[in-house]
Amino acid sequence: MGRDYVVEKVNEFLIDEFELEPEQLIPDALMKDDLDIESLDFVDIAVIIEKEFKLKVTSEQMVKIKKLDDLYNFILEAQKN
Amino acid sequence: MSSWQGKTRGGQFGYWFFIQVLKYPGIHFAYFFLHFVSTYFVVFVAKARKPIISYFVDIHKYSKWKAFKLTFRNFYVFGQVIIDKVALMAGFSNKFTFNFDGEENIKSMAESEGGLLIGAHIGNWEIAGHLLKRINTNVHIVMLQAEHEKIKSMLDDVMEEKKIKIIPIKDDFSHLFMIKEALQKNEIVAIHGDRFLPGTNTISRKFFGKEAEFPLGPFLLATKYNKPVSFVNAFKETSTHYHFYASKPIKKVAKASIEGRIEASINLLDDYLINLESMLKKYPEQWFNYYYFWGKY
Repeated sequence: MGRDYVVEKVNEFLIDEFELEPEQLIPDALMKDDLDIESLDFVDIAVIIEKEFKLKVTSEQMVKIKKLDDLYNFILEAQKN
Repeated sequence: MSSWQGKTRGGQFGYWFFIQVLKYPGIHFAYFFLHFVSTYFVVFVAKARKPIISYFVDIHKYSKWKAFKLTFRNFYVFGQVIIDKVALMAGFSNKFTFNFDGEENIKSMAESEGGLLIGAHIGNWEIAGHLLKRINTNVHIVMLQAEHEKIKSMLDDVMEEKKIKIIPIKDDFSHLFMIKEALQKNEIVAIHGDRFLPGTNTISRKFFGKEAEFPLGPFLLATKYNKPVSFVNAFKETSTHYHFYASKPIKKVAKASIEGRIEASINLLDDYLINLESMLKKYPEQWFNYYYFWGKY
């Protein structure tokens, strides 16, 4: 799974689940301030990552994700391991 | 608007000391000392006294003299409530009597899809944990990490009922994962709906006719996971008698959109506030938020 696939899948669920517009989804977008993603939403994101990418996500890992790019990179790194 | 700054008074030694007093001279001996403690707080701890006097004068419209007397009473009852809480957790349950209003409401939740019990810092909400032993399901109590750590080592030794589990609120959101897991297993999660820490998702609502900030999180949890909610409180009616209330479970059907979910959560919060107001009209002296809840006015 390459970066393009991860970006496409992540953006897809952010648009579907959080009613975000595609133009908001730039890598530097801050999850909380720019995308209005609250702590409770991180639980949903963790569930989707687990389902979509078959990865185990912990709350400690989720709390480090500040920007959208961090989320893409986290999935890519976790897949390598 | 004010928020709670996350500090609670007391420590492990205090809890240990109380247990020794409860074991030997007994609970009324412990209560006796509260007269001195309450006097100290009323006279010397302006930070706690002033918001409570303001609560009685500005919210309940009592005279200043009545407010002053009730403030002493408030500190005294708060002390009793802390002693009772430790006494119950330490297994001294035979010292108290209870009556239940709505126990069947919680039972019906436990037997079906679980749900949330939302309380407040009024009365002796933690005592509900003791009463929930009668419900045949796991009950998860959400509390601040600092509060949990302070009493954990003592409670681990004395807490008899392992069906009651603590979910500590942490900065890493792990509590949200634990809450989700518990609700998905159709278990019961107990949480407060009145206080919030700075930086959390809040909303301003009218409470006793004045705007105050409330956390939206507990109510969002209910609509997000489509679970029923019961508002619970336990009030001290005599020195050894408690009255426990659990409202009929309500479930707000939220539209699929985020706005729809927020709207349903606010509706739920408004129901919670109606319940809270009616309880506080009945037991005004059992309000234990020692800060300017409505901000300064």
